Amino acid sequence: MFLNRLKPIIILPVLCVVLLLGIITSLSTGAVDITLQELFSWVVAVIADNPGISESKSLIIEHIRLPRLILVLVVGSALGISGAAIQGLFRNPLADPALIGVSGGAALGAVSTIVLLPVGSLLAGYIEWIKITMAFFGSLMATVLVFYIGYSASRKTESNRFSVVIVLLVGIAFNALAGAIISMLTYIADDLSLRELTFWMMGSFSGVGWEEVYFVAPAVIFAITGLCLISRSLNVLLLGDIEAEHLGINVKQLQIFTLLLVALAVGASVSVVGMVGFVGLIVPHVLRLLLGPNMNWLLPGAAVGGATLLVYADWVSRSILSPAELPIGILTALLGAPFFLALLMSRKYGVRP
Amino acid sequence: MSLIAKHLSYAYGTSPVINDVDIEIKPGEVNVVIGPNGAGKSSLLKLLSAELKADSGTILLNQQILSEWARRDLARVRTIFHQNESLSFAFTVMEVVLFGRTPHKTGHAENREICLSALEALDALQFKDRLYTELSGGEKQRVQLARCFAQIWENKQACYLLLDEPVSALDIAHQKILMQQVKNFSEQNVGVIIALHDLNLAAQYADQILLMNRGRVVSKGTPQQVLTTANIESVYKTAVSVIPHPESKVPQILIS
Repeated sequence: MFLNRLKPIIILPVLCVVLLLGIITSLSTGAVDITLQELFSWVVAVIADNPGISESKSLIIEHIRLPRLILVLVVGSALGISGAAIQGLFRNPLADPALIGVSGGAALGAVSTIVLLPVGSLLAGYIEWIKITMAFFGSLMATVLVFYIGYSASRKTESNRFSVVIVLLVGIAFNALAGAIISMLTYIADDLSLRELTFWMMGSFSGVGWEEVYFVAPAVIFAITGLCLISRSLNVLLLGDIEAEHLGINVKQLQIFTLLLVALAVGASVSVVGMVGFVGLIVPHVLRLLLGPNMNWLLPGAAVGGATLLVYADWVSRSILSPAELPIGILTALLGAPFFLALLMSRKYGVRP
Repeated sequence: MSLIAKHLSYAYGTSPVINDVDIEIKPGEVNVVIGPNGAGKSSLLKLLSAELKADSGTILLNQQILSEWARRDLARVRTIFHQNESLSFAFTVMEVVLFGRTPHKTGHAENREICLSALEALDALQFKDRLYTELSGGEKQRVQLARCFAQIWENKQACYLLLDEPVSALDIAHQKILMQQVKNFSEQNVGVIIALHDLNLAAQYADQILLMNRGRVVSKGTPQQVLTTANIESVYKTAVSVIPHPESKVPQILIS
């Protein structure tokens, strides 16, 4: 460890301040500049009904920037906390929510809708929502499938008990299969669908509104609450499945519960914004360096950390090519891949591949 | 009150690992299981801890069938140490030992107190604030043993301590500390069963020795009764000399 462990009491508030700065920056930058003062008067106006900001700017905040910001926060915290939970579940700091098939399933659902739904049909008007629904159910189904096959396969092993390693292998196989089907769909797609699915695969927050927030936020809040409630048991699980079992934990139930909560959070997020990679990998890592591996702190910390990273990433993705927008998935992957490689090279804190 | 197994059998696939074993572990007794590699020592401990499910036979813990115990209640009365621990996350030593208190509803202050005592009992108190991942193999083993001890520390009812090769990474000084502590534990209403390879250590601390071979208990009794030249040579297929310990007179085994 190159950093001595710091007290969570100090780190978490600092992280919250950084997040708040990101929120303010995010709300004030865009095609129309909104000053700090105007932002402040908007907050006052919302609370005290005393408008000190022009109506158009207030509309921009309320209808464009605020829903987007909230979605960024919700998705960021979902990816961050899910990464922390999955790494704990697999007892492997290199695990990622994508490993259990949740992203692959979502991509399969979304891409097949984009490519196969005929343009001009009766349903075409609802394509956005059909896509989101398909992606969401795709991710849930994929997780259930990976989990079920992994579970039956691990019952055939010598120890006859559920093995996360086998689930991981099934996840890898499933992702390869999903990838192949997506490639096939890409191959037969027409130009319009091709463009849309490419953008979906890159991940983007552009054009989101309150409807998306209402769809994603409850699922993510439910999942975050659930994961924080089982943090103590997830800690014990880090000792090993058998050790946790001997300490009175119902390991199988805990594993199923965790996987379902992660599938819910990540599935809901990915279905709306597309593939935003590496957040679930980087954030828990950095937070573990700062806070230590204790899930009681790490899970909430990773949620705040994920939200923070994504707020800044979203801000950069909007500003860097302004007025155009860089899909945020490209940015997080650009950041994440080198980080992942550095991690593999260093092996400083007990990384077991 | 005891941990009793009757006609216990277990097989991996078609090869039998435990074959019709009877055993009774009474609180206050240190039972040591010895035997060559593959004799079934670890499997026996796994069966007794409900980690493996027996193909036939019954196990009773404090008069109740083992598989009918509620998980958490069971965790309060028996603890098990395995040599293949694989904690790779950088918890502090104190955090690791505190995991041993998971099944209990005692408060944090009391848990801390218990964990400090358990660490002290294994001469591990000096590294309570260090990171577990940075300890040596023997130090890790002491910490994991302290975690197991912390799990049944107050032992308000008859408890059981199951240790599989607990001295494999310990130097002789810490072997002695551990075995002495186990002995103290057993005197406070705790039934102990330990799988050991070191026959001399077994002879010094066991109240009862179980010599296993090919899934069966071939000899059972005091060290003097079990550790005879004939028994050891027939099971281990190695020539040995057995001499009395100069002080305690228990049998000591020398390789011839």
